[in-house]
Amino acid sequence: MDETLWLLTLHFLIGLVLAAVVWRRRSALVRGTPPTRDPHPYEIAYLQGGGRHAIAASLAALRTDGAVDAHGDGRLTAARPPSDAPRTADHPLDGAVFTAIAEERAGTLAELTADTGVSSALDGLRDGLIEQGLLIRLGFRPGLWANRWLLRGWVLAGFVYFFMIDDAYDDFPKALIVFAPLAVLSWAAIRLAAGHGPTKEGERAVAQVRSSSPHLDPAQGASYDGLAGPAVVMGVALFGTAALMAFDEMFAQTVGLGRYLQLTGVAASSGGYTGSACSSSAIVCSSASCGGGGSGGGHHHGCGSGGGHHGCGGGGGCGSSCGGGSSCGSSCGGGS
Amino acid sequence: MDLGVGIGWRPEIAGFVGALPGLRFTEVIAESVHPAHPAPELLELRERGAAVVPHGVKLSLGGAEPVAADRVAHLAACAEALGSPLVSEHVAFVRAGGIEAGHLLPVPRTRAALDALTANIRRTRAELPVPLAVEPIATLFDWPDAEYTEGDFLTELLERTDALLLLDVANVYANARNRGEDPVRLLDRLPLERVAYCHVAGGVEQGGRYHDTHTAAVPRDVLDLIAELCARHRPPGFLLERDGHYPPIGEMRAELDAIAAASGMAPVT
Repeated sequence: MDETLWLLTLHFLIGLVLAAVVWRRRSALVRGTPPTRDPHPYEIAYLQGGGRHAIAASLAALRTDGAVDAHGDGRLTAARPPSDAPRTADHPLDGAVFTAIAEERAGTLAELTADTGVSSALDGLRDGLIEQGLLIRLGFRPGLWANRWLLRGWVLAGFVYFFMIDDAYDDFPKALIVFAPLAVLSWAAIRLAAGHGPTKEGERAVAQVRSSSPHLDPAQGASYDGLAGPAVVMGVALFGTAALMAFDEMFAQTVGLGRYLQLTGVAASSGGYTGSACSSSAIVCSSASCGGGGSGGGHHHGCGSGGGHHGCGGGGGCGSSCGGGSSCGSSCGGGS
Repeated sequence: MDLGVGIGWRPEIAGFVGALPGLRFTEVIAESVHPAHPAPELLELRERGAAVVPHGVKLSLGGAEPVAADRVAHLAACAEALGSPLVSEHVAFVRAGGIEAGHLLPVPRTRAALDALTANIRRTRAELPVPLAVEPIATLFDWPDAEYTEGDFLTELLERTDALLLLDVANVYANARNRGEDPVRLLDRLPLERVAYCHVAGGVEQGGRYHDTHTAAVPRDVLDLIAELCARHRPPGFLLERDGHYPPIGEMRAELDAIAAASGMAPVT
């Protein structure tokens, strides 16, 4: 075996080793690490449905404290909770959500999601989960790309061999030396970029909490009447819309939390619309007040676009001042 | 037909309305409905068994011209799309001579106006698949040279057309207050057995006049008038109209409960 063949064999073996290293590192990232403490309900919520689910859980906490209310059109408003009552909402996210509402920066779920203070709190929650090995980092992953120079060098070596192989190897498909590494590199890049959301350990942590909390599952007839605040919040974190409806259906529907959570994709997986507590369809669980907004730092995106409220269209007999109402009365010269 | 206490459906409060556990009755502005694609929330309410009444505001029954055939057809299509037990419109005109007023305007209480109204209501009823209820409006002025009292005018209109009455208790209160009359006297002069349902709303005093704005809480006096009405003849339903400045949900629920208490009907909250 001449020197060229040796180099080719070595090149092939190096490629195999590099691929194995990358694959192993990726597997470790996807697997994650077991939690060293009990996850906070908002961490459970984030793992299940991203930032939006965490916001919904935070609103449930603030609601149990009596710190938030909703107007009939779904606009959120801050309320003064009883001063001597124990507080459920004590997480930085609660502070950010309450402040955004109290300072009237956010009146709808869309505005709340887009609020910078809330986004920042969600970023903190997300980073904590990544640090614990419960959430896969989106995008650039330093651990995985540490070997990128080796990979590039390996591909470059392929080009060099392409020109080194002499005519004695005419039957050998020389292009394979170049294109095979490129194909492998492309495949590796795709595999490395793919995958986000909870790690296997993150999923296991959620499943563990869920299996230990059947008493909070509305699909199993759980009652939220008189339930302590932290249990309510954990229920919302685990069971999404169904728990919200069991806890405070009027608030949840008026604010549009059903649709908000539906857009995280978690409502269905957590029995959101199948539980007995959510007697209505997904449509009724939603509200016109739910709209768009930023990703809020979560790994789930999208909430439609621009929420807000829509007029009646055809308006009333007294014109636009009535906002589509039924002619709004004597201020218009004649009321309905 | 027993409707109970209801609330006017508006897109802004669709979530709140949909969450009312005992709701069996709502009303939607007919001109806002696309009969081929009604709002899913409305269809959901209908599937729950709630009656959805299309409430027209632009038919101009009191106009001198005949009602527009396409507007009547739209009202009929709304009723069919929503499976409505009846539809309603106003005893008013909103256009004349090709000019849109943008408001509900009162008709003169004269024989000529009565004739025009009668003709338009008959034309409308002929095209509708369900009964029509007509609603006297609140007005800040009355045309001069009236030939009828309001009670007599409405009674004769209902007799001539066989239409039902949509009695807005807040309008009765507003008109009586602005005219310096006793609202109960009008109740005594109306054919209450023809009331299909009632509207209830809040308003504000401004510039020496009471304005039925639908954006404020229902006054105690209007709730008392509901009780007076029910003492005479309890109508099938009372519907709260709210068209803006929506208060916290607790207050909206309390308002519905207050209407239920005043009318002796079951709460829907």
